[in-house]
Amino acid sequence: MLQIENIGKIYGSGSTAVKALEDVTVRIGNGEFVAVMGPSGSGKSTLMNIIGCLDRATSGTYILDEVDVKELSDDQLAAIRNKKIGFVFQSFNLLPRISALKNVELPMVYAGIGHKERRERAMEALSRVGLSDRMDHNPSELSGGQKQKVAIARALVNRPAIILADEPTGNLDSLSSEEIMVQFQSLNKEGVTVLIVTHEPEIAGHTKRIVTFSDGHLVRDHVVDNPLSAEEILEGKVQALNQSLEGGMQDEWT
Amino acid sequence: MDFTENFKQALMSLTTNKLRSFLTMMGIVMGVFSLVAIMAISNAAKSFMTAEFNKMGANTIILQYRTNDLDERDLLTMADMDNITRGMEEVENIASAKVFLSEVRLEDGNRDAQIIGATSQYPSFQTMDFVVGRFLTASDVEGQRQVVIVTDTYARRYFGTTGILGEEVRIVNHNGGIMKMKVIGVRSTEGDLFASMLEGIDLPVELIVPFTTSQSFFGDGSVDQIQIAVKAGVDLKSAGEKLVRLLSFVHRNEDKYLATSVADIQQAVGNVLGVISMVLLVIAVITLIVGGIGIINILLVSVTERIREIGIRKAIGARKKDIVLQFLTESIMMTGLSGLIGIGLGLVTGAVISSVIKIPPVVDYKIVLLAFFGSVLLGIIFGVYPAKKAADLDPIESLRYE
Repeated sequence: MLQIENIGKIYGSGSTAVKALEDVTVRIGNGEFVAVMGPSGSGKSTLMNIIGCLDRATSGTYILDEVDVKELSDDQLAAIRNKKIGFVFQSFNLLPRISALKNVELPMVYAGIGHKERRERAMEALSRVGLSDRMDHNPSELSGGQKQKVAIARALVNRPAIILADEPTGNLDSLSSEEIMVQFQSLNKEGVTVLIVTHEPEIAGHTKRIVTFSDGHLVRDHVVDNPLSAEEILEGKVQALNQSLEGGMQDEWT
Repeated sequence: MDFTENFKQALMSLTTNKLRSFLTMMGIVMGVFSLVAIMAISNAAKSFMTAEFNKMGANTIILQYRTNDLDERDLLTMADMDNITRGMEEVENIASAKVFLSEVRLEDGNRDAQIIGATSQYPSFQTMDFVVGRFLTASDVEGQRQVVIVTDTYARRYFGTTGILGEEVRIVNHNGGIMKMKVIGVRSTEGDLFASMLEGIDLPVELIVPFTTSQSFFGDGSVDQIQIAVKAGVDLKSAGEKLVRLLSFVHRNEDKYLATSVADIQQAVGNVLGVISMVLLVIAVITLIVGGIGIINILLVSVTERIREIGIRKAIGARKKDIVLQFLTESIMMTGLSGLIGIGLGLVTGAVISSVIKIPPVVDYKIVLLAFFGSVLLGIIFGVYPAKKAADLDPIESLRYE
């Protein structure tokens, strides 16, 4: 349960102060699937950073599972990021010089989990996102979609309650985007709260609720009536692709 | 974050920039290397000196002239030896010598020679090993016999062998007079530091003859110094003062003689050695500090290069101390490894130099351990600032950093 009460965030001070968020109140229950939308500069990323305990609000209160985040030390916040929250970024943010497997193991290293269990759980997470055969590859040897799947595996490996994704499909083609959304929908089905920052309405259409920001204010909060099923769309796209390939081949044959 | 994981990460980070890590480490390697080598050599020199002085005997007093401003009556003679033995019951043993700079006649001309007129007790104060033969006896001295002791290098050079007992050596005096001397002993110069260092250089040959023989041949009965061994338990300082008083009384003069104990000399030489090694140590420490600044510098570069990595680590749950530990481990690994390499190089160099100047090497394990743990400590000191800087980075800023 995330309770955001009258949150404000001001960057800088004096005449150069910028209000990134002003008086935002929103509640997100366990197991929700929410898209945060809005133009750039609207404050949606700032909100995500605050929810993700990477940043602290200037005013207002943020209560995460009955704990007021204001009261927590830096190390306690680090522990929350490690165990309760999984991050997925637009630019993947994998460590470039280590294998996909080692990247997925990293959160467990900081959680103090032993070598053997780390390895098993990382392999499990990678096979869940369909990358069992790419575990020993370094990020530079993976496609964008594959990198983002590694990032999702890393985000889910410590079994967090919340997954925060900041423009997770921003650098991906539509097919890969759909594959990523399949992962998020399946995680949400298992009860994980998923928040996605996006400016693509189609991506937002996969979620169950959309909150829209503008100039640091929450301007709209509505439920999505019939969320799109990423799996179905993906199936359709794959079929269309196959047909066009066949068609192209037939063209060549005739 | 467990230790092995930290270790692996640091190792990977260091091996990613092999050349850079290597060059950074060189500063510390050089510092530790010079430190260990200096300590090894100065320890070897000290223990060598102690051994040499011990051979001479710690209870020895050397009586010399205090000044060059001497009258005929001030000169010490053989008679003074008798005066001393008669006047001081503390004396256990006494010897004296006089060095004449002269020449020795060879088949194809003359060669410079140091002719040492000695008494039979001389070897008690001056260690001497014989290849063949013996030293002068009391009767050689009393009988003014024409006998000589040569060095093994002299024997090999002019006779081709050391077995030359009974052979003839002709010494020359200022008037061109020649005296034929019979070889009764060949002494070994092996293990003599200066002889081996100066091997191949044409120094005057060293010949030892009975004091009485040289006295009459050169027409000079004075001695350069008198060496006195006192009985065990006698205070060297007061014995020395008593000696000087006695001789001043006999010669009716003042402030002409000086009594030095071997212990005094040993201390003086030890002090000089100590100062030299201190200066060298300071230089070594400066090298270490400069090397350490290199490490700080390169770690700061490394932090800047990895701002994004630090941001990622923080986002997935790394605490400040995890980040601090990560960079400290790298720093300690660099300095620790440098320390090991430096110690290795230092010990090898110390051994090589020792063997060149023929001093047995002395390895002080305390110094080796100190050098190693010192390097590790340096790693912590030099790593703290960059590590702290990395840990204090703002996670959001770091994640945005390109």
